[in-house]
Amino acid sequence: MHAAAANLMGTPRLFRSAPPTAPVIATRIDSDHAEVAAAAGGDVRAFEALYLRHAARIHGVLRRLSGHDSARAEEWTQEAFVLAWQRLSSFRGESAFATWLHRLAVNVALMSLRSTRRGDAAAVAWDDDAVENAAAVVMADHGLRLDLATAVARLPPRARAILVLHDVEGWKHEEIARELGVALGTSKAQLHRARGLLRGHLERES
Amino acid sequence: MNEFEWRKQLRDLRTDLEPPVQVWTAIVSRIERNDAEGVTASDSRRRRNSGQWARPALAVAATLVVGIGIAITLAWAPPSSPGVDVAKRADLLESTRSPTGNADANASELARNPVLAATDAELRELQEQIQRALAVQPDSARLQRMLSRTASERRRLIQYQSQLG
Repeated sequence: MHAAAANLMGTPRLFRSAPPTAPVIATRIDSDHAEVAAAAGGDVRAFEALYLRHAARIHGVLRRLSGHDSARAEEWTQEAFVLAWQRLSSFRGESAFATWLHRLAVNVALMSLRSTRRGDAAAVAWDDDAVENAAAVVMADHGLRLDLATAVARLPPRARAILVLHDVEGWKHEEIARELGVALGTSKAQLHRARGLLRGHLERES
Repeated sequence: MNEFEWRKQLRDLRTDLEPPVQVWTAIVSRIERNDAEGVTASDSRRRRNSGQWARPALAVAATLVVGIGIAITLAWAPPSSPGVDVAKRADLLESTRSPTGNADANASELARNPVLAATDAELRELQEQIQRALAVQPDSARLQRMLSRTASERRRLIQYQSQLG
C-alpha cells in the first residue's frame, strides 16, 4: 500500500471537518498533485491514496444529499470515484483536486435525483425509522440536535439538495443554479421554500 | 432558535463520514473491469473530444441544410404546385439514396444551372459528412434524421430543376 494511504488508515470512522491551517492545505494540494498525476497514468495505488484522503468528505456530502439513505450514498460514492478515475486525465489543475472531486460527486447525486424524480416517485418515499436511525448514527458523536438532521433528511429531494448545498456546504446560488440547470431566482426561491419546510418540520416536532 | 443559532446548527451538520470498506472494493472492481474492456481514461477523453468537435459540426450542418432548403423554396418555388408523379418521385428517391444509381443523370441535369449545381454539391458534401458521422455513431437518431432531411432537400432540388425545364 502507498505510504500516504497507509498513514491514513488510522483515520477515525467519523470526524467533524475542522478548518485546516494554510500549511496543511498546501501539503494536501502538493500531495494530491503528485498522486493525481500518477493515478492519471494508471496507478491504482495512487488513486487509492486519493480515495482514502477524500472519501469521508465526499461520502459525507452524498449522505446528506441522499437524506441519509446509506445504500444510495454508497452507490453515489462508488459512481463518483469511478467517474473521477475515468476523467483524471482531463483534470487540468485549474482548481484544487478536492474541489473538482466534490463538484463531480455532487453532480452524480443531482443527476441521480433528477432521474429518480422523473422515473420512480416511489423510490423517494421515506422510511421514517431508517432516516432517524441513520441520522442518529451521524449526529451521535456531535451533540447536535437529532431533530434538525432528521428534518433535513425528510425534505423533498430538490429542496434538500439546495438547502444542503447552500446552508451546509456553503455553495453560492450561482454555483447551485449552474449545477442544477435552473435560473438564479429559482435557486433562491427553492432555498426559501426549503427553509420554510424545515422550520415547519421542526415546529411540529417540538 | 434565532437566525444565528439556526445557521450555525445547519453548518454543524457538515461532517465527514467514512464509507464502508466494500465501497472501495467495488470501485477497484469496476476500474479493473473497465480496463479489461479497454475503457481507459484516455479512451473516455478521446470519446469526449470527438463529441466536442462533432456537436458544433452537426449544428453547422443542420443550419446549412435548413438554410439551403429555405433558399430553394424562396428562389425557385413555382407559382402553382403541380403534383409530382409518384413513379418519378420513387426514381428520385432511389437515385438520391444510391451513390451510383442515377447520380450522373442528375448531375448533368443540375449542371445546366450553376447555382443549383453548387447547392447540390454542398448538399452532397453534407450527406457525406453525416454518413461519416453515422459510421462512428450508427444508432444516432439525430444523425439519421439529418441524413433523411439532406436527402429530401436534394430530391426537392432535382424536382425544381425538372420543373424549370
